[in-house]
Amino acid sequence: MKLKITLILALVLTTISVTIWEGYWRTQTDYYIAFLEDDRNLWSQERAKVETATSKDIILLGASRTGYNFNTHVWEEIQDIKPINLTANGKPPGPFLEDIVNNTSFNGTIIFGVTPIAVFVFNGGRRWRVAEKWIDHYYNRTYAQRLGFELSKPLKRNLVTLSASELTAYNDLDLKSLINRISIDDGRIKTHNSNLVKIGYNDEDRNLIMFPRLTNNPIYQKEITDHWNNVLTNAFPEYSEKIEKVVSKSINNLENLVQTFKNRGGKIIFIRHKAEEDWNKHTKRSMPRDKVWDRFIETVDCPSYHFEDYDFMSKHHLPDWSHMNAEDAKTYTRDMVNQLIKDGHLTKH
Amino acid sequence: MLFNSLSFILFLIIVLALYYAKILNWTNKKRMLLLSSYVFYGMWNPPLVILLWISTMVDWTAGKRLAVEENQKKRKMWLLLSMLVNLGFLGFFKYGDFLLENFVTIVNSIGIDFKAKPMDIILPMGISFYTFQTMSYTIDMYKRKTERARTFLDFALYVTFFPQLVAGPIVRAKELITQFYEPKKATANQFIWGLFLLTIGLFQKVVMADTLLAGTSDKVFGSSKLLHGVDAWVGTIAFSGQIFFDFAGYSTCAIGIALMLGIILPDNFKYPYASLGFSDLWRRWHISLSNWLRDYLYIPLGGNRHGITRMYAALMITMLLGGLWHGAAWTFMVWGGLHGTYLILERLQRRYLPFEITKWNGMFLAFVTFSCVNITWVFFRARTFEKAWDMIKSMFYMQIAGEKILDTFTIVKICTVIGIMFLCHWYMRNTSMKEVSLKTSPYVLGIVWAIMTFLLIIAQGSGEQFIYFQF
Repeated sequence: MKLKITLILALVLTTISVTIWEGYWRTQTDYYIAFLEDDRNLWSQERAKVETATSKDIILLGASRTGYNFNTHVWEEIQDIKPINLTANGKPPGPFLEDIVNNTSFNGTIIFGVTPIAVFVFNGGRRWRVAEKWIDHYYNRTYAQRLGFELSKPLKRNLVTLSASELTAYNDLDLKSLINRISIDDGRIKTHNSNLVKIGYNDEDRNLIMFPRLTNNPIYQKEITDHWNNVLTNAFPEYSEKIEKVVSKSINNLENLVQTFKNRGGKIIFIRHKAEEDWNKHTKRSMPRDKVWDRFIETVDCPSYHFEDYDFMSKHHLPDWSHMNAEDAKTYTRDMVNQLIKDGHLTKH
Repeated sequence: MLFNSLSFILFLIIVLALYYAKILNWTNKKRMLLLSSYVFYGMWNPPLVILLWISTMVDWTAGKRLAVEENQKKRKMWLLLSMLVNLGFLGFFKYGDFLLENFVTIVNSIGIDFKAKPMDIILPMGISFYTFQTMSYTIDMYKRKTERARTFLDFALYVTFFPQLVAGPIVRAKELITQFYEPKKATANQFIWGLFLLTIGLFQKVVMADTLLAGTSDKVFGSSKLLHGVDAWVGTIAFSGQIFFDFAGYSTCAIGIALMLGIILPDNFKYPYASLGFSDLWRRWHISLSNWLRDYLYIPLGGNRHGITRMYAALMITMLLGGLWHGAAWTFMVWGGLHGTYLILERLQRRYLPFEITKWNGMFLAFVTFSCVNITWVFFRARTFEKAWDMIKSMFYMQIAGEKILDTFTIVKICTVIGIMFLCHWYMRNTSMKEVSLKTSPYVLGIVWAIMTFLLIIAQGSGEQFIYFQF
């Protein structure tokens, strides 16, 4: 057997093909950059900070809006404390609050971003379970997984080819996502016929950063808003008795958690970030402010900020109807932290 | 540690560097391999290495005494001690909650109101594999079928050898320990072939099982709906392929890694989906477990030496326990029971309706065998009887208006992958990868290797655990 020839040929061809592959995706700068993608490992790394956090510390909880709209570096510049960023893109924050309240003794401040559809659900399906899996991963990650994560960092920071997220964005580059782009549209099952395009990336402090081109490129914006158009009608059923029951159940659950947290000296502040166009329209239709947000805030009796009540919260235009671009996020963070300090909820150190 | 992880790649490079560096003599190389094996296992859950140590100590001591003890009663006692410890571990860690659940059900059924909290015991990875392996040593020592391991180091390495520690192949003492007696070094060809096997194994796991098949089987078996027949069948054959590529992938990796160290492990899979009947299947699927069950369960139960009825009973008991070995649930027992039934029916057919297998009916027979095996996988994969029964109803159109949850592309993809897999098994059933590679141009082999490696890299496996780790 001439296996040496085989090995050399395999090595050469693999090197060439991977180089060409990487080179090609590097030319697609509008859509792909190399970065350490946020996943359960990066989240767990951040979550570990809670174990040594003091009452002066701040934890950010919320879904993508809180992730995109706040910038922890700017926050630190103003308050001299960098918040522990436990926001989770595409996941409900409920399970994470449960984890902080039930499994830690943290008694500092929690800033809780509220996207009604992600918060007023109770044990709500797949996304809820993914959130729980992240928490399980934090507690159960093996030494091999920790080492694997450390080893993957330099590769992910430098190779565009390794662009793959735990969310199913259609333009991921792993083989499974590439294959899933193929479809035969014969109507066998109902599909939304659209996939979410990635709208940004993250830094290693887990701040989500919108791709700059999204701010000015209407075609790219339309790709995303078309997706929202497709999914929002189904995702937001009309407010009804059924929804009221789910909302009540989740409010009760959150109230218990908030009370437990407040009883041990913790402070929690709820923030409802801005949404525009169809996002706002469908949210209002499905979870009207007076029946959901106002009732919730009255029940939990905590400081709260709704974008409709503050100019600084509603002044920015959202390119994709839901999230702020990187520059606006900096201004928004600055305004928000200053407001929180002014209202006595935070202290400048 | 998982083979499909970056931490394992680093681990393997370090082990190979130390193994082939000239700084260690053979004994120290074995010590290094032993230590590495403990690190390999401990990187998952360090305290559970203690179980490995206990199992090693007990069987080493039992083997040592069995080698010199002549008193039959005392010999039996040493054997019993080994069985008690190994099966005790297995019973507690693997079947503790299952036994408790069933006890509660029985007690409640006779009217006693008793509730028990699940014990939530961690299942030590690979416990079914290494306990069976160490037990085989003691049983063989008892039957005087194998020599006592020369040194404790050789024995400990036999129990713990990292390539096959957590998911086999389950290797007999005489196959592996004797290889540790003399210095081993892979030839250049062995090393490269081992690397090739490692690549194929990872390709099977990461690309075939995790990327192409797992999503569909998870979706179908995770659905709470009553499914359309096509969806149920496609989900089932997807699992059929997934479990083969997952487990055969692990075995191929293990064999390849061992070969890179100059150690030869036996084959564990020989194209099982082209089996002609079920006896043939069990000579091709998880061969090391089949042989273990045959030698230490079926034959001691009487095998075929005590008439037909006893043979059928022995077969059925072996397969039921084989099912239970895979998992602590009644669904696994049904899986084993179905295989037991198939084996009995096959023997009846051979006795009363014998026919010659030709090249014309062979492929059809292989397809029928494969289809029957797929039915058993439903019980293996479903978490509950209700789900399994729903799937069977859908597959045989015993209910109409089942829901369609798979899109057309997914159906085409799965049928293509499984069709190709079946044909490959059929064409490879009387040969081996080694034989085929000898007839293949080194350039073609190099191109195939490069394609697999490229797909492996872009698949970016997220380190999914091998299915058989839980058994």
